[in-house]
Amino acid sequence: MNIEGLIGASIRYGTPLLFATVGEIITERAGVLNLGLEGLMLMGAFTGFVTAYSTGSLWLAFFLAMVVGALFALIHAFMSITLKVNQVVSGLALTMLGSGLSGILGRAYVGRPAVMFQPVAIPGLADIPVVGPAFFKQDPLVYVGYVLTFFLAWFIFKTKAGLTLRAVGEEPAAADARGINVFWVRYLATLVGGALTAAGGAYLSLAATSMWMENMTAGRGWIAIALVIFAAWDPIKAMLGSYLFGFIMSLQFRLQATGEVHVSANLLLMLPYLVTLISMILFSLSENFRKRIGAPSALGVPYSREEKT
Amino acid sequence: MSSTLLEVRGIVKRFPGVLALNGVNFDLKEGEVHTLLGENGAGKTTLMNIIFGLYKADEGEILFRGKRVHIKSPYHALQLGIGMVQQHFTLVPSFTVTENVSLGTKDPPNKVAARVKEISEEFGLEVDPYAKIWQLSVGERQRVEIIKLLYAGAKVVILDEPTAVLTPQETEALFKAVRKMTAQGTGVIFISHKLNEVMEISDRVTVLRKGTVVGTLKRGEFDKNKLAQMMVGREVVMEIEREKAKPGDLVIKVDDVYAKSDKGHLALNGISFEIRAGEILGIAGVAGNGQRELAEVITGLRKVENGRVEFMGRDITNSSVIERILAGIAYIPQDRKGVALSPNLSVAENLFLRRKEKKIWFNKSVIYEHARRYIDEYKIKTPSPATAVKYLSGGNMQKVVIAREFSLEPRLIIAVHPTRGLDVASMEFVYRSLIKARDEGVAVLLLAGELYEIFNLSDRVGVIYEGKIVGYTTPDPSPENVEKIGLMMAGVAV
Amino acid sequence: MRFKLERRLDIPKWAGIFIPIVSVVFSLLVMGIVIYSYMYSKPSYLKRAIFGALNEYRSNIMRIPEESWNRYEKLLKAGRARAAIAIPKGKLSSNVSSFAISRLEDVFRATEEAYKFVRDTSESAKSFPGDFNELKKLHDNIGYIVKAYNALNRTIDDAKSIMNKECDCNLKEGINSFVENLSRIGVLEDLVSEAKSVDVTDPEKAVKELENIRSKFPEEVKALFTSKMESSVKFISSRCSVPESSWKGLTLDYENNIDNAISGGFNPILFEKASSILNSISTYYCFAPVVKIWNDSLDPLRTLHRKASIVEESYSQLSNALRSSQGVLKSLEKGRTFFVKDTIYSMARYVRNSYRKLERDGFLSSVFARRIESLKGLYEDINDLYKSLGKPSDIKKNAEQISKKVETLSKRIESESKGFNSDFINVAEGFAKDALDSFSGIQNKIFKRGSIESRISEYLDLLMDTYRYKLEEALDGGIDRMKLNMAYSQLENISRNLTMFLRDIADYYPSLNKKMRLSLDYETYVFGMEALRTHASQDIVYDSYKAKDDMDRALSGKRNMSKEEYTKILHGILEDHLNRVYAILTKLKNDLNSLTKSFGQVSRVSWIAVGSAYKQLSTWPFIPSQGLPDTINYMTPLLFTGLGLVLVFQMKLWNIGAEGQFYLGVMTALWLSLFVFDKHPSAAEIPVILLLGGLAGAGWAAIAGALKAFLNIDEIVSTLMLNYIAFHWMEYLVYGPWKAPTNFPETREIPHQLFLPTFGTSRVHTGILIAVSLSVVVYLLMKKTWWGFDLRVIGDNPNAARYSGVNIAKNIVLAMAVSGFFAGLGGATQMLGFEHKLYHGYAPGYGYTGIIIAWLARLDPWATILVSFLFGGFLVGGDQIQLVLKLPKAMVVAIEGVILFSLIASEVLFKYRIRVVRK
Repeated sequence: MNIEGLIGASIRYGTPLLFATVGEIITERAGVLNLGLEGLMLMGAFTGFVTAYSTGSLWLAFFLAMVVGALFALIHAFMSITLKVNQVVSGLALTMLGSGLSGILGRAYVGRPAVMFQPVAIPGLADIPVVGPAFFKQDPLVYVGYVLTFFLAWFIFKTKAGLTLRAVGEEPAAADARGINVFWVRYLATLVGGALTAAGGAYLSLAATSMWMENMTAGRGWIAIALVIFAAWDPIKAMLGSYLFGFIMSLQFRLQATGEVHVSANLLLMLPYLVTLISMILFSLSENFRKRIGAPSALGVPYSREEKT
Repeated sequence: MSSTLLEVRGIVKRFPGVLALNGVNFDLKEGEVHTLLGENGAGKTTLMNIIFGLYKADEGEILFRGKRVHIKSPYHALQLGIGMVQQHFTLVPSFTVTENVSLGTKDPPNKVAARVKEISEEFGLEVDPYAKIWQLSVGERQRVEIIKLLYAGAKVVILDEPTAVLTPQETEALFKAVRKMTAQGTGVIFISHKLNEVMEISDRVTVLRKGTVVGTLKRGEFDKNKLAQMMVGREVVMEIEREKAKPGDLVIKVDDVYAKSDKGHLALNGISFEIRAGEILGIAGVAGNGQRELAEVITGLRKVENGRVEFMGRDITNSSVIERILAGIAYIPQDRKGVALSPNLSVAENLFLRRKEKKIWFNKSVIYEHARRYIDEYKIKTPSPATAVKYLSGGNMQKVVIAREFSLEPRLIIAVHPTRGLDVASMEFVYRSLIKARDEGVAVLLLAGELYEIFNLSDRVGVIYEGKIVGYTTPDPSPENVEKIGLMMAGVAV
Repeated sequence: MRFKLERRLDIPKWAGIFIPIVSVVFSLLVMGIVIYSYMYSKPSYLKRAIFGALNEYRSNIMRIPEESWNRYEKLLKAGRARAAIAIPKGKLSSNVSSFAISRLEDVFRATEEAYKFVRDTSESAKSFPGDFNELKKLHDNIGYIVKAYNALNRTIDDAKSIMNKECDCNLKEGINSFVENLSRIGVLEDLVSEAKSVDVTDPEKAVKELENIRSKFPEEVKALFTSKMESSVKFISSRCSVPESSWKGLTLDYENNIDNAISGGFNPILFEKASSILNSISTYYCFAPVVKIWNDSLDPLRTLHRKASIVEESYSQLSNALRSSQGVLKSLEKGRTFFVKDTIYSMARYVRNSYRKLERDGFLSSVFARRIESLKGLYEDINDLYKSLGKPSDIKKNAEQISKKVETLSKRIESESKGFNSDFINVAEGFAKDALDSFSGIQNKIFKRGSIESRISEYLDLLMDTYRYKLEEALDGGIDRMKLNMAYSQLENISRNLTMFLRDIADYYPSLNKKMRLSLDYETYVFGMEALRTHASQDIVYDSYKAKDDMDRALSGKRNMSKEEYTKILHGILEDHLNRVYAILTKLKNDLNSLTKSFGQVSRVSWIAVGSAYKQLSTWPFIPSQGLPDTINYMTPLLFTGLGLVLVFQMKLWNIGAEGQFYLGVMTALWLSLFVFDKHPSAAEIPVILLLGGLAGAGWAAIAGALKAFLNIDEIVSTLMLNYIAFHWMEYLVYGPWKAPTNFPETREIPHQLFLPTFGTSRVHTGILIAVSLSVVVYLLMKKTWWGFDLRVIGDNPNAARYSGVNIAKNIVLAMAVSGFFAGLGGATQMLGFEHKLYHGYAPGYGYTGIIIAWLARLDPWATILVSFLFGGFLVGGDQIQLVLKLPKAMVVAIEGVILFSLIASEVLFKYRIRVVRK
């Protein structure tokens, strides 16, 4: 297992997680908890595959997947922001709806080959000895992942809009008092988060493989939710976390394949979830105050101006 | 006189089951401090919330500089030039001062920081622009709120009970800033129910009672007693007649206790005092000097870092809350709805929230039976024992708490701001119950913000400052004594 | 204009139950719409599939010129020019054409689905008109006749004993039972009236009369049965118009069974044999003779195929000989003489083998007599040449001469093999022709035109056509063994198809009542689809062969041509081929359209699908004989997990981990049963296992509880992670240490003594009792203990809970543990009561559905029982719908999502009033 191959694989396995985690970071930064990532990723993967299969154009597929992701996130947004329902239950319902619907509609497309993103080497960077092939001989969506992460890190922490987003998540009343329309910001954040999560799903069916299978995300949506906490709501840490989990997943497939290490596949499959749990424990042991962890304090709490008493 | 900045005519506002404002007229002139006086529940804050756009008035109109306006939201009010410093500050704790001020504006951060420095110097509201809000004290946060308004160019500034959280010295600084603002033509609406402050700062005073304006007086036309009389509508029985306390044996001895606050730094710095049976020890002090932590240490809700707490001769420093309840320690916390009661549970259930018997089986009918007895005894106004406690008025809620705590036949009662947000009738009821308990040989530790409350009830008065008792005095309401207490509250050794 | 949510204060407590009802009704409505649209879109989906397949077929076909040119160039380059000439003559390069054909398979499969789908949704009432039915009814209640007969004997004996004064028993009673039994099934009225008229008072006369009744009784009964049999035979054979003779054997069989049943003293068991024959008659035998005749007629072809494989083998021997001769020529050209002698020898041997194989088979030896002779001669010549060769040096000397001889020999071999083919082909064709003639003969004989049978003959035509193609293909240009086998397999599945097809007819035709047949003529619709599909596909296949031939002709003889020219020619040919194919498919599409429009088929079928879905959902799970046992077995785990969640949700503690805790219970129960108590397992250990299973679940949940209580880690994510860890741990055990010796990924079954007892013979296990008693425990815990009160306070206001002295951390862990205990107990009960072993991929999702149950029951323990019962029914109904309507499994998951959404939405709309606020 040469190094480039290993890192390259970790990035490929990590990118869908990255899209979903970064998407959820935006949503949670605005104070909305969306547990429906699994459903959104599945709808994204399905829409992406169907569009690629029928039209053959990959970028259109990627874009449509995001649009569908946003639409589905709209359901959750309406439920949790306007109707102020319990966001946990609404998230679970979204996952069920997403996986169910993609299962029904996807039945006709199982096992049909379609077109997929081919790796594109970036001229200059690809020839750097070790780093080149690992990072810069990937498919275009991985590069979108790089750009997206750094853009969002800049956006959240360095721009005025980022400040507004964080304010809405931390202290909605303060944002409201300064004329920020808390509802619109939360709606937008949930939609954008949904779109990015669906993009993560689309990566699975357009770049990682070129086929559709029911429930092909296999729990990646839930890992993304844990990753958001693991990354302390920070896109850069989310990227590191995603690639780390990508590494663990790729390691697990690779070991299975080469059988070098005689460990049953299922124990390895357990790894990502175990690591997430342990990291959450270690994380909360070291800094025990939620403030310092940076979790948006109004996360999951619907905002309404009148009932502030 | 200068032109009218803001005028409200015939404002009516109904809440489910209560008429909060009944045709209120109010006007504010440029460069004037117009105080809105009224006891808790008179509708002061409701009126201001309507002006500030938080609530919508059912009837009536608002005129700004003579023009009729419909204020849709707090932000719309701010754009018009109306700003308000609410009791719950709208600041984002994890942001810096500059970030909070720049929120919602398009200006670059460094420009904002400079302007903030400028304003704070000009109005004497010093605060470090780059400090994080959660590191600031309550007084400093209030200054940030005011700076936010001035930064936005507010012409009308509403201050809702600003001094409740300030030390006398900070109050003085605030009044200096207010005078500077009025000098520049800003109109200030000052809401308070502390008469001496009102006397000192107000150009005009409007008294509000039960949602209607009793009268508007100009400086010179009013004095404390007249105001108090207008505020309450009858000769306020400020003096509660009570015999001299006959202190019995020692009930509780707090010896050199240290304890941490929620934010981790020391809230109690080796506090020591004793209370004997049948005696009320009143502790005066500005909020945030360790009162809450002291109450929690005695009731077992907070760990004692070191030092000893002795109750009836037994060391209870590390005993559990239950053991202390059984030992006979009652606690009326400051935050009724947040701590003392469980809002969605019924009145009956709340009456048994803290209980002595170690029963396993929860028998609903027996509980309702007892509840009815307490409701009659303490005259709690509630449709039935089964109604959720959140639907009760502030006063009745407090009665439920008191009924429950007294039912434990306590040897010690700790009361923190027991009359906050209550109407006068309920206040009198609380005072009478505490005094009745004292006469029956119960020790009472009263932690209150308002001095007149301390003077009315306490047999001995201690002053707490930064987690220590800095001195004791008598409950004599004379100005010299008030002066002495004020200084002690501000930490000046006397 | 803006919406404002205004809290409604005047909500009566009981009104809460409307919320689940409203949400469930809404979601069922949504399900109906989804099913209708899914069904309605099916035909259009099929048409789209047809044209999707066409596009792919076109893209593959157009690649042929390119592909074959490349192959041509490659072979040229490889230097074997001479061999190359034979191959690229523009033949459809095999892999491309097969790929194209496989795309056509999509077309076939798409229309196949249409055929099956329509057939399955038809309502099949199982009654069987005509006397046949009465006969079957008679058999069903044969018991009454037997009772009557015994009553008769009894009364006679009584009468006799009265005569010789042994007892004063009352005759009336015996006679009444005789009369009553017979009149119950309304048969043998005359005997009944006679029995009634017997004069009870005079025993002698009574005995005589009764005995005469008894003597008449057997004949009457026999007459009854045989008469009914004749009329039904007449009815069935008329409808199946199968020759009387074929029925003789069966009816005779039936009759003597009846005889010995009656003569055997009306023994019910013997009647049983008779009725079994009846059953087989009713279902298949209507057509059995047809199938038998048909099958036999296929035998000649089967022999043909056996013979053909022999011919093919001998033919390949000849081609070996040819190849070795060319080898010799080449080596002589090059002057190498080393192997020449041996190769010539092997040439001889090949030729000998080839004719030896033919000689051994009598039939072929006669057909190929001439051919065998000439091969023998050829063998002699090669042998002589072989003997004449001397040492290698001599060979080199007269290499020229030898190569000329070998040249001639190889030419003779070549001509022999060509002739070989043609001989066999005309024989084979002769065979095929008369076999096919005999088929049509049979068709006319057995099946009259214009009735159901015309459909059968139509179907047979189709099968035979395909077979004819396959056969021709195999024999075309030299016998190709692979194609031969394909033809043979087609032959075999003809008979298989036929039987299957006839069985379907037998199932459906009689069951379609008059009204259905007129309004919704299923099989015409079905056959229409079938015929259209097959004709279309045959035309296309036929056309593609035609295209192949055109290409051969266009390119034959042309040696060197440029790529452009080459592709231009091929493109031209393929273009017309595609246009023809396009025409065929459009015709197929129009035919499908006209067919469906003529029957208003699609929307009607879709509505029937929706109707039957609701019927299935509402009736199937709740009828004791049908789905009720499954519903109860489904309900048990749901109740366990639901109750646990009701407890923790009360505390606003979001335990999403019931699924993982359930798995822990399953694993612990399995571990104890397989490895701890397996020595001498006894039922006493069951409670111990259940308890430990529960504790395991409690432990697993306590982990999440502790993390939440002491480290303030969000319990939602921690429980989810624990779910996945538990699942993969279980998978590890199934694949790893606990794997059963069988090659299936599952574990051994637990000892039978440890099975949870079931209710009587039904498969409903007593786990349900534990679950229901548990809900009593939860009710007491929540409503009747101070601990329950503390939990409610923690849920409502944690600060108040701390203030009232409740240790929140301890209670969080305790509550999670109790909830985990319930889920774990559920897992253990499911293992002992239902699953009995663990298999790969076991993820029933009771933990997740439990969340919906808890919410639907609005956290009330009693309501949880009702809700889990109804939801169990819903899940069972869901499975049933999938079976009947071929709906994907994901449908149920989607509906669950809709239920949850509508539940929480209706909760809000119920609590708040939406007030429109003017701007």
